[in-house]
Amino acid sequence: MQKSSYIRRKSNKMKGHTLKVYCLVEVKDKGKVIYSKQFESHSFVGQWLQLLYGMFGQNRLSILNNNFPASAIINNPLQMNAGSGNHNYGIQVGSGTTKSINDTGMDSFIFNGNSAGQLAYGAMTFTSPTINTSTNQGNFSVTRSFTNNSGGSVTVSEIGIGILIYASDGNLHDTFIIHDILPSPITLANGHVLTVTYIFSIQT
Amino acid sequence: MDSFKIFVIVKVKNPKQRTKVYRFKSRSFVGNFLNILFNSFQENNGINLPQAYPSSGSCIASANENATSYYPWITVNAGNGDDSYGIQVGSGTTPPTISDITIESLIRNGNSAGQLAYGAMTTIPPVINSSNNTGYTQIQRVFINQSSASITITEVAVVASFGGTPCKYLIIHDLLPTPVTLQPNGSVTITYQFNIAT
Repeated sequence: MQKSSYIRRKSNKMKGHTLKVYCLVEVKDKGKVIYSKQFESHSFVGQWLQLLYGMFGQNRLSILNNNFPASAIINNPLQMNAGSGNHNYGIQVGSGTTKSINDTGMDSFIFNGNSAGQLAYGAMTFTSPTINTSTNQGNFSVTRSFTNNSGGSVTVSEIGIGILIYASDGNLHDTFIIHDILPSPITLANGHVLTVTYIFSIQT
Repeated sequence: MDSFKIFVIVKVKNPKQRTKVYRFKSRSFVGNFLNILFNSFQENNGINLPQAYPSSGSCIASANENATSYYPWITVNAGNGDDSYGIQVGSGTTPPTISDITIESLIRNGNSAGQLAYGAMTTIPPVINSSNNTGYTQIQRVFINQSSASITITEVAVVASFGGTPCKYLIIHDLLPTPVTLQPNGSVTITYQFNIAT
């Protein structure tokens, strides 16, 4: 409910936007929401453009782990459905504070796990597209939860999205496409669960 | 600062006239695009969407199939004379809606009355500006009026190709701010520019 009202409010202000991406971050302690923040993502990085170029023209991608020669895409290059414990792609979190268009990963990655400084990555989940033909607005969301089982506190200050590309060199490549710095860092005490949702929205 | 912006650049060259260039902001990803992004992200097979004219009927694309070489996924690199995907032009005037699955009134490839010769699609590598954290990539197509009468363009669209079949789905549909009339031997170059600002 909170998510849909946020999107409706933002969409009303921005008739005819091309594609907007919004972020929702929420922290729960024993199932109770103790923190919630919503903001607009501003941070497709340059690799997203490289990927578009590769898809549009079936051009070889030079961004895949700096491989040479560059590799061709041989299946859907937008895979984001990472499972529980897989921190290689899907929504990721970190503790860094800087970003740029040249980013190829988080500034300071927080790894999956239950040791000090780590968070347990849940499976990616997806909410199907909602298309409103009366307002010409549509959106869908992707979500992931991160649980602090480390025994200490863990601070999250950046979030992002990696996707998985299977290329003609026979390898799977994790490729970073979105990077956002949180408006303010979030400190998770032991047992806290952080949920990050990215919402992709269009208005025709 | 938008997450992602698209500009359309229209360059018109008519015989004995000065070249005119228009630039406007595209506002019109359609619902198919959202469905495609979603199903691609979730790695779903059986993406069943209606195809854009001149293709017909529904077509199922699968997000988990492999190709032996280059795999089409949001691919627009149609060749010379192929009006089934890539950038299309039309003569419709109805404002785009999120439900659109095809351009309203496609101007077909050809040299007869009411037709335009479609050039091959061009994809232009990204330009990344590290100093201001902006970048863009472009796709482009040239249309030439080789008929003996003038032709007016009022709408533009992008149809992308997906998967092994492949399926051809409309992803973007825009009306031109002002119609463009091509005299015989006139040409128009349509460029879609995809911009980010990090």
